[in-house]
Amino acid sequence: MNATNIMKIYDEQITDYKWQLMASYEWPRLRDDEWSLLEEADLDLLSYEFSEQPYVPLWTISSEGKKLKPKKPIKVHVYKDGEFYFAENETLDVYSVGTSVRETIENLEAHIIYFWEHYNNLSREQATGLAVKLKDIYSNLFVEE
Amino acid sequence: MEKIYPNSPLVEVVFEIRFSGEPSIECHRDLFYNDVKNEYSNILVPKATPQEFPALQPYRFERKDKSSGVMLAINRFAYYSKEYPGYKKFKKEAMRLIKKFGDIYNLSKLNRTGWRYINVIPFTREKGIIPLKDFLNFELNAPKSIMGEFENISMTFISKVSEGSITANIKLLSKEEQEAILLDLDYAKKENLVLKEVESYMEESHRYNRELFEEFITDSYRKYLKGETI
Repeated sequence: MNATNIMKIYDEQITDYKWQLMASYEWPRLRDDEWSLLEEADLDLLSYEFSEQPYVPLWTISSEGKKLKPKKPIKVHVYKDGEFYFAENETLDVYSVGTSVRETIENLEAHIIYFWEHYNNLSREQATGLAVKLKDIYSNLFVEE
Repeated sequence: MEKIYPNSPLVEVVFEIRFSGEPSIECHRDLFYNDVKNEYSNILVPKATPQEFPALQPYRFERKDKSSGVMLAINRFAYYSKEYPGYKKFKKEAMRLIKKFGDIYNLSKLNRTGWRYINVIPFTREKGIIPLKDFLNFELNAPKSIMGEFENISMTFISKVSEGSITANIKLLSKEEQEAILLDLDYAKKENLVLKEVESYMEESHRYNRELFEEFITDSYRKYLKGETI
């Protein structure tokens, strides 16, 4: 297959997550006529991109005065769909929605605490199907602080 | 063998060499490009901006899938990977390209080499505060009235180590409400460098930088990176 050349304009505009780095951390030595001395004027531009659907760890869960400490960090998938943000964790079978990332995470924490209380109050005899597995998860993986 | 964490925050790895300005590179980029165009076919040119020195802005030759590429300018050459395949594969490709570059433009002396890990760590705030201590072993010996709880952070420091220097950038990034901590680590060497020894410089730089990263992250964040999560 023949290689094709694609000329693109490399975007060097500074945005929230792009910045210019003076890689040698030395200010360019400009002469009086404003020409830069080649060896010292270094600019190294990199863009920092991160996934639009990142995973974030939660180390503690708190809502309305209650606080839980998970024995392992909770990996939460955060993403935006249309106007709303969503957060989810499959293991805990918990999902939340909100109009901002912060609100969505707060809602998720509230849901986790709700289910922690629910499954702790649920007797083993009452639990069936997935509820058995979730009862074990919520009972064993969280410590109330 | 270098371990790559399943939940690695690494977004880019760069190895760069710098040298005294070589106009033949500026005038004959085609010589290098013709040699690599079957793999790095995309050409990206820098945008002209005021106050910039055009000759210092690198061209990029990049793979079609944008996973990796090279940057070259009148005084530098770099290989970068956005989908880091591990040190062994990265080094193999970087050395292959550096050798090609050195042979074409007849380079021997270098001014600087640098290995850079760029990590982006998404997080959520806790009561409006960046939970930095959950991710990084980093404290400021600041006055007591500064509690060590940050709403925003942006710092750079350069530290001299045995045969080089470490530059660390810790900064808050945000993109459409999702925030992340930038942990940008660069290990550089500047003294008495020659092209034929670049492989040893790469080994040393990688080793130091990796050790630094491991020291920087907390044990609990390391568990997260390993996949020990709920």
